[in-house]
Amino acid sequence: MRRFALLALQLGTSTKTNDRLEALHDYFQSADDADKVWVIALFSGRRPRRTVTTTQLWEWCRELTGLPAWLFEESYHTVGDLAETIALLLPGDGAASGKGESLAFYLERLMRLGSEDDAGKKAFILGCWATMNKDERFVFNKLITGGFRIGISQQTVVNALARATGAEASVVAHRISGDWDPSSTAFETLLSGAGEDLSRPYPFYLAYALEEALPALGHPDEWQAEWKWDGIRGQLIRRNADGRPGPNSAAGPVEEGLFLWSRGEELITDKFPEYQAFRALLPEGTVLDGEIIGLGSRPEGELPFVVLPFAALQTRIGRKNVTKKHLNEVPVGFIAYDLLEYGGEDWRGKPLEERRRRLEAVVTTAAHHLLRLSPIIPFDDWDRLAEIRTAARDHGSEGIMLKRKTSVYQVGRKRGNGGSGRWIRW
Amino acid sequence: MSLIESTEKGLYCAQGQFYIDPWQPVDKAVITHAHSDHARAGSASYLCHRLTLPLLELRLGPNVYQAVEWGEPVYLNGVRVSLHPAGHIVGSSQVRVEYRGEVWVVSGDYKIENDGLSGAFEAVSCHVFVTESTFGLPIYNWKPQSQLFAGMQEWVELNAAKDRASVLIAYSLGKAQRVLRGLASLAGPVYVHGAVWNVHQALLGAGVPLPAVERVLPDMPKGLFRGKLVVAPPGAEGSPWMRRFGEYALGICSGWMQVRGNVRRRNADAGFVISDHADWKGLLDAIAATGAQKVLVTHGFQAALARYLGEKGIEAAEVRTEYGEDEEGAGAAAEDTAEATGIGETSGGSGMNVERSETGVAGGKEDRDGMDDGETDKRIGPDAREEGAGDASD
Repeated sequence: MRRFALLALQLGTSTKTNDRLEALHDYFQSADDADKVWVIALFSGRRPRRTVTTTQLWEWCRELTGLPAWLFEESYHTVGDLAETIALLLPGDGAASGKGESLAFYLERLMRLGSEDDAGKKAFILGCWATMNKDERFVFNKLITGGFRIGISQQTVVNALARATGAEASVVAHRISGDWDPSSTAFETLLSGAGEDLSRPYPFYLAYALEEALPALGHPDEWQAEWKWDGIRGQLIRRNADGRPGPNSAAGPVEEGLFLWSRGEELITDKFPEYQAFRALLPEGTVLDGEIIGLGSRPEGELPFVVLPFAALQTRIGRKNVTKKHLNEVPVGFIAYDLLEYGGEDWRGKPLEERRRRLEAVVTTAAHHLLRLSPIIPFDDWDRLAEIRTAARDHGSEGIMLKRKTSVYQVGRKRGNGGSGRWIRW
Repeated sequence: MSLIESTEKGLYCAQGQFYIDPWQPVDKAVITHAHSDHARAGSASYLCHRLTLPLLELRLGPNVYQAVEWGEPVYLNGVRVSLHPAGHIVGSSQVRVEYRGEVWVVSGDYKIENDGLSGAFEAVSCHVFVTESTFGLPIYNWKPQSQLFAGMQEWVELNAAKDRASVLIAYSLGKAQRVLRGLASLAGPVYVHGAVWNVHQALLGAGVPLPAVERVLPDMPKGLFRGKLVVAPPGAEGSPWMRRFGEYALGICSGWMQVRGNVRRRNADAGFVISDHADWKGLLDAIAATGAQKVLVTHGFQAALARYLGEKGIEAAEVRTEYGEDEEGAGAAAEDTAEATGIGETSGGSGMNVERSETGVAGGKEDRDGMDDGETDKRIGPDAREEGAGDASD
């Protein structure tokens, strides 16, 4: 825990990306494997369920310090963070008496704490505080209150891991995404890809806003233009036709062999039961990148489909159970615009043109009215494209996406005009 | 009538006809220490400790001064006045005021831990104790300075290993000298900002032993600072003056660094929680040690401290003052400007200080020169600001 508290301090105060990268790299080189797995989990937004309330924490702290409630509140008001306030108020430095338990030890105990009564919880928390220094208490409290956030991007974590393990960043990013349980996943297993979770998505490639004048992008021939859809970015995964359950998966109905991930790396398969129809239509080992979007029933105009406004889709998202009525009122389609895996093989390194050709074949073969190809907008010169763009709203689109035809599918948001190119939203 | 009361001009002893740290010009001012919110220009005469004298001369210019030793009584209209070490900065004193058996002590600013520079804080028995409360919340508890300096030294050495300069932000009067002494065992020359340099020279001149430093000069090559330590006042933070250091790490030395958000807001690479004020426990211990029946709480978290004392059975009340407008007492914002303009005069918003320095308050010139790059002695205005902070137009 001491090692982790130091890392959190370094990451929390450093103003230089390189220093943060180095601090993480050092950590991944020197920390216990079980702790490393937890750090990856925490920095990618996975955290244990809260088993102790903030009210309990502050009551126990008040009891230990003997401070009046108003003074505690005054202190909290000045600090602005409960976990930190408590860390600053707790008396003494217990570090010398501690055994220096690991991060994994505390997190796993915290997770089990849910089944204990309040007296048990209190005894555990007070016992922990008594053996920690200020920085440890701070991160410990943060882990309990669930507010553990450090201004560090998942990409930095990925880069540090890549450096520490010698693996490609894109491979690391893929392996640490998806659905895995930090308390039962070994570091080696997680990063080696052994015991691969079949539902595991690829990290999304994100677009940049257009910053330059169009002609600066080069010849129009080098670019593929599509409409930019106002839906939910999604990754549709078709794997595991025979229903073999993944070893680390807590994802639920693995046997279904079809998974849908949101960009926030949330598994949302259950929200869109209509997609289950694609299972039999897509070949084993296919991953599509696209937009989840409400589709109207009567196609009219230039496009082969009509998209519904985002508000219509919203009526579907928040629901626990999707009824027949909802399915009929707002049928949700998937507008596919990229192919990340085909035949079980990672296709991200192939040029967009090649991925697009295969994508067209896959979608056309599947031939389902809710699975659509994102149409390519033909254009010869930039002025013409600008003209076309003025009609975006008529198509239910927000604008235009530009993708360099030679580009590979990258991870996160990548700058640069280089040959690999990028995705630009306009 | 109370022996000391709070008036428009400051804490006033009517019987003795003198003020303690007045914020407006008066006939007779007893000064606790040389920080600009306590020692202001314009009074007809000043009484202070021997080691405060050169600092007042530096900051306020020539005036009528009377300097005394700690414990040496002075009688003002029959009131016995003596100064006692407050441990805050060099020369800082508590003011003990006695008349017909009634004893009041005004603390000024103080800290309990002996920094080896300021004299050890002396607990003075009294009936009424007027205490500061800059860090009067229980979240403020300081580590022993030996631990802090070890951490700072480690940080500087780590930066040196990466070939970076370490720039430590510390108030030019007090914190800077303390830090320089605490890090005296560092290898190689230590560089200081002009404002720090001026205080350094004044104190050396008064016989205060301080480690050797070098002043940052405009013609120094950029690469010179690689791996070295630079000590600069808050006003320099984020100013063009910093550009000469190339790649550097920024560390801020202040009690406010106790709260993480402040480190982030200042965009510092490191925050070192080192203060020349008493922490929560220090305040409570000092108050208890005076045996005072009544405590008057000034600048800081006065409401919280007064209420807490009241609940502990000690009669306490808040007293309004105009201290804490700069230096550490004001938190981040105001102190920057005070240090940046180097003016021993503050009374409000940051912009005002600059105005004043340029319209020539007594003593302003000397201080501005302190902020100057050192090329000439007479540069004022925009040039003076180059070393200063956010006021610069660029």
